[in-house]
Amino acid sequence: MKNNNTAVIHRLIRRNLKANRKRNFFLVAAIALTTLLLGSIFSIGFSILDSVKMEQLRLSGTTAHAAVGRPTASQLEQLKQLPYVKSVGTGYQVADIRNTPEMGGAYLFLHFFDKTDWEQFRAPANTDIMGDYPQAEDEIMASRGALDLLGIHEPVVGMEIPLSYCPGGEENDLQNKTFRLSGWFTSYSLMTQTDSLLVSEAFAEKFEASREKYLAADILFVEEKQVSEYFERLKLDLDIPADQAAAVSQSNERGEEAQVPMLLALGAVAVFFILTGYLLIYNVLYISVSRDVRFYGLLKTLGTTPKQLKRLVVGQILRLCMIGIPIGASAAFLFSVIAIPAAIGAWKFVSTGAVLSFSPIIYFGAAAFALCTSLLGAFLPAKKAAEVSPVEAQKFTGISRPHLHRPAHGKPYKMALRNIFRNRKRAAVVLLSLFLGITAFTAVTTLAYSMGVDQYIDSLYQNDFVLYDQSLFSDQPAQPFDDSFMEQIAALPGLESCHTLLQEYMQLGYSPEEFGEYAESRLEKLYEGKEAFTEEDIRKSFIGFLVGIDGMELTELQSAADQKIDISAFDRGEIALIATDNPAYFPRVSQLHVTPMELSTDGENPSHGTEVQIPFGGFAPQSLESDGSLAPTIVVSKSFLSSLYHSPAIREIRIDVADGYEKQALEALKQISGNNSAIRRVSKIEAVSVMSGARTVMLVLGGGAALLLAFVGILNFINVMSMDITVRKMELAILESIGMEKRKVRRMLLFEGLGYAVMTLLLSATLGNGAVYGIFTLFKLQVDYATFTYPILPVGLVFLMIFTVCLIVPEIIYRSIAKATLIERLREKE
Amino acid sequence: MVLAMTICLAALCCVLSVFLSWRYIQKTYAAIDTIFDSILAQKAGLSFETELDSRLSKLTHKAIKIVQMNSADVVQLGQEKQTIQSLLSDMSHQMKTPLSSISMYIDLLLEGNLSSGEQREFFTRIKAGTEKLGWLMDSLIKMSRLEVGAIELAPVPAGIKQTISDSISMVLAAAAKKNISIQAEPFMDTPLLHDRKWTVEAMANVLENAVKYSEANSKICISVEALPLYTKINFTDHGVGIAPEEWNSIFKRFYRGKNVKMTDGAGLGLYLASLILEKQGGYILVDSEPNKDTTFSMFLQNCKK
Amino acid sequence: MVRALDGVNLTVETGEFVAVVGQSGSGKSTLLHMLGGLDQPTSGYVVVEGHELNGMSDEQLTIFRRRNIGFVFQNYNLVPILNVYENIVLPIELDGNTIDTDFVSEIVNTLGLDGKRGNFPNELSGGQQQRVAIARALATKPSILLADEPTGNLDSKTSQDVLGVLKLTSTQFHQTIIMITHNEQIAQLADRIIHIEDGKMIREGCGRR
Repeated sequence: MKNNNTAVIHRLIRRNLKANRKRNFFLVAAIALTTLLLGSIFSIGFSILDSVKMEQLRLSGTTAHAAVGRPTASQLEQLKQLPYVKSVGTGYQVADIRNTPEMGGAYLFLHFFDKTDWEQFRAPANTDIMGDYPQAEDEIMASRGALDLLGIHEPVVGMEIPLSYCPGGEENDLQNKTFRLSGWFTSYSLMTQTDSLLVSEAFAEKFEASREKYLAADILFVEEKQVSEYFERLKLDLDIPADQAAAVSQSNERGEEAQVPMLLALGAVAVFFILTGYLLIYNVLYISVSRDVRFYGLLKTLGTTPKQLKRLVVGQILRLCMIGIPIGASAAFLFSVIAIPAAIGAWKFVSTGAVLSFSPIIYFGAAAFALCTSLLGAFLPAKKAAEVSPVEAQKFTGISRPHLHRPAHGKPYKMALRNIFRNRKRAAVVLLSLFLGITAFTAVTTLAYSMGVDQYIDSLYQNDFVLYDQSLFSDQPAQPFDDSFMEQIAALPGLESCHTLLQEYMQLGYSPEEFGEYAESRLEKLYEGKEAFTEEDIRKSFIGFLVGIDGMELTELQSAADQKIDISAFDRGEIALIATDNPAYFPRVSQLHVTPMELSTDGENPSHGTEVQIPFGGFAPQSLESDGSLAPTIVVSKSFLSSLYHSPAIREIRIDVADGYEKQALEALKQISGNNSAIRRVSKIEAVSVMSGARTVMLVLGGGAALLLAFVGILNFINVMSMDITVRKMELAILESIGMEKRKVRRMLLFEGLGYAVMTLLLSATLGNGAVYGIFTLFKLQVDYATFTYPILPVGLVFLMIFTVCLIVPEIIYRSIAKATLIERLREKE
Repeated sequence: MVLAMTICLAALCCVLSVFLSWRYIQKTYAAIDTIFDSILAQKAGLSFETELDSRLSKLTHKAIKIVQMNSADVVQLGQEKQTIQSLLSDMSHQMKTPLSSISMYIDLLLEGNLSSGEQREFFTRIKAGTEKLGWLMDSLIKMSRLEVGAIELAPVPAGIKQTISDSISMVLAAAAKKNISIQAEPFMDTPLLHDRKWTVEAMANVLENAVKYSEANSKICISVEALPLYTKINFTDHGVGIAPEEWNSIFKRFYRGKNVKMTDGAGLGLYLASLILEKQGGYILVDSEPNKDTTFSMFLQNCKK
Repeated sequence: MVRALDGVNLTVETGEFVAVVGQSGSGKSTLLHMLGGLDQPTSGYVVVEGHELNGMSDEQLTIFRRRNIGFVFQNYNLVPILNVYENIVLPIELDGNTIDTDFVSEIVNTLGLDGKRGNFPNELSGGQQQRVAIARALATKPSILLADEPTGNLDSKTSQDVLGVLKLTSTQFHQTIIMITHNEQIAQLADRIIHIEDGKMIREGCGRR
């Protein structure tokens, strides 16, 4: 049975805490800082993970793990029985909405989800849900995107929406009905072009044909981690034939691997924080224990066992943790609430809005790690206290190695150097913590500086403005870029250049040898392997886009790529290019057989022109590609394209304006395009403002954290210096009494501070900058547009600060002890 | 299923903890039993480790202390017996000399053929012998009573001035004979914890010595000095003095100073004085420079405020 | 190798008041450290009330000290963060024993510390601090009270006070005391006086009895 003697140790802990307020402040600050930094890091990490997860969820539009198309009644029944299936929801597309011109190229459907499907799978993937899922036959629910397309920007529950629709997609069965809006929501689904209007079961029931055609079962498995295994079992258990569609939801295909480097970096930063926290706590406690050696020796003399002494030291740090950790944790919480959404949003980790993680693991984790750090920091000091020799402790005066040989003649700087390394361990701790702080600061500022907005924007945007015709892909192209529009563009203030890109449909001659591989990859991407295509099918639907561009502009775009293109031949219309970044798909292409197509006004029965043959001349950048077609996008000169089509459509207009005119031009463009929903605008200057926000956030957050680290280093320095000089009070008084002038003593102390500063400078200039470059290299893997920029000004300022502190602190402390007269100081004991 | 397993596990834990507790209690009782056995057997050698931070170790340590206290009591009793024995032998030794001289003078007187002057001389010597015997007997009885604890001193708060003047009056006659003046420096009369009757005795003994070993026409000074816990009463004379080697010995029973062998005395006065002071929580110290001055300092406890 | 102590053979009986007298550097402090289990002899052995100190671990020695030894040092060595009463009962509490309040009160009374229970060491005079130290050493009823120059830092008046207290504990509590001093006059009070010079016992003189 253990001895019942803990009460007295608790009293000693309490009293000792009371007697060391300054030290406690340092320790609580260190513990709180460590907790704050760790909590923030964990919070950022968790929030990124959660945000990414949520983004995947929202983008896929469902929380279901898998889906089975056209399930039979028996399959459905079976599904519900399977032990590894948690829940099953069903839904089907009831009818196609008949497009109106204002809707651009968007497709809208009337869709029905059963209760399970909506409540469990769909609703969680959408936000801002207002109202309820339709109950009555004429009720309807819609996403904000769909409502926008319908021209409704301010929805009201119960408002009437007249729609014409074709049940089951049958064109000839057009029906009209006026629905009442029962609710709306914001959806992030990738298929914004094919948004759904949700209808009630009462309505959907009437369309049995649609149900047969489109019914799909959404499935949620019991365990998220084994989705693909369960899916394989499901296919076997349900006996799903090859022609029945069944797929795993997209969001479960992409893991969290993409975030691994980011999480690793955060982990490294956390380790870094732990290290600095450890150093500070260790140092403060170690100095405190060394100073109180007599006290611990006395306690040991009186019969305090080594174990009790350890408990005494560790107990103090535990009590300080009880104050420091909650402070740090609440600070971290505040930090999370205020800064993290901004940071995640600004860093563009996710597109669907940041999710702030409040997982208790963050705070418990931070607290646990901070506690471990503190205990680790207390370990060696506690050991020192426990191993104190009572006899030695009685003789202790605080000076570890007396060195009073000829001090009066010693050069101050020599004595200073000796003093610095008198206690090597202490010097190492101070240098290390100063070094870590500065290196962290340099690293963060380097990253922020390297992530220059200009480099980034230039890498993303070649032109000041780009206008896109969004309706180009719809059945009824709006052709917003007509002649009058072009005239207005030409009148833009400060216009430097204006290039148009033409685009039309075409049918491309298909042969499996030339395009087989590519077609397969496209089919996989477009239909997710849900539908089987024969070679003849592919040949018929090998339709794509023909893009026309000026040779000169192509040269500009091409400059990034390596391949050399015969531009003059291109301009003359003698060669055509394939727009791709993946030339490996087209190893055997030599001639391209292009048949121009024109869509009729009703979007059906395209008329084919005569096929032309044009030699393949190389590859164009992927940015020219028009996605969404089976055939690759073929790039030809504008004149060549114009010769093939009656009046080729303008896909995009690339506009450059003179420096300084960007804002005016932007205003003018806004007026010109008005609220024509067919025109999409991308402008560099709008992007710049978003990006510089991101950089500011990074600078403020990262720089703040780094400054805290530097602050920790400085705290450590102040702590060591003040303890050192106080302990050496007597020694300094002796030095003065044997003839060393006050001036010389002060010079000596000054040199000591300077010594620390210079050594820190040297260390961070060599090792530190090496580490910073290493970190940058890692960073560049994530952010490839970063260019190494050394933040000379901030680093210089920090160094100046460190020099100032190193020079001022010894002086201030010396002054505080030198107030007393020499005699008083000599007489004073302890 | 899960519930059943939880219940089973909980039951198992209960059984296990009950079993372990039972074993622990058994072991503890066995250990306590062993400890009591060794106390009863008066054996200090216990097999348990006494330098552990545990309850059992503490218990063992206390048991050993009890045994040792017992044996210490036995030893002390023996020592007291020895004290009485040595006292008795000392007494008989001390009485032998005057008794034998008395009987010698009586024999001489019985033989007769002595001049009347001689007879007178012998009678005076016999008288002196019996007087000395009487005084010796007196001292010895006091001493033995004090030593064995037959008399309990009752220190009560009482003014020190009266005590000092009482003791001075006891040696006044002897001092007057040698024309020695006894002077007390002025001091505040403070109540001190002491038994007046016996303290007067102790002071008188010290003063008697001072008078005895001082030259004629010299001075004896008495001063009183208050310390935080004690009050110090100094008796300073200018006699032969005591060498530092002898400082401790002079307080021993029947010890006679090397340089005062010639002077009459039994070596009991200082012994008695130190005994009396010790018995009332005080003590006596000596400081001396031979042939210059000698100070005996008596320390009596102040009254608690 | 410097021998701090050489061939010292010393036996102290229960209840004895022994003074060890020697000049500074004579090895008397080393002797006391060894008796108190603060230091281990390179050869020879120390036995206190049947406890053989040789070969004990740091922890064992510490526990031995708190159960058997009371220390009084020249520089008082009170725990600055505890008040007088807490200082006195510290060794008792360190061993987890219940405080014998009557006994502690008796000590506190005897040593004239009654009004100072709640004071902190830095509020006391040297003599008072030393009396607290003596009270602390007595509180556990130790086998031996070791006093290392107990009056070394005190003026002659307070020295005599403290000395009286030591003597009192010897007679009143039958406490075994070993006191180290360089002052012959102070040594007078002991039952036995031992002289040490250059680590050797040169003379063992009897005290008053």
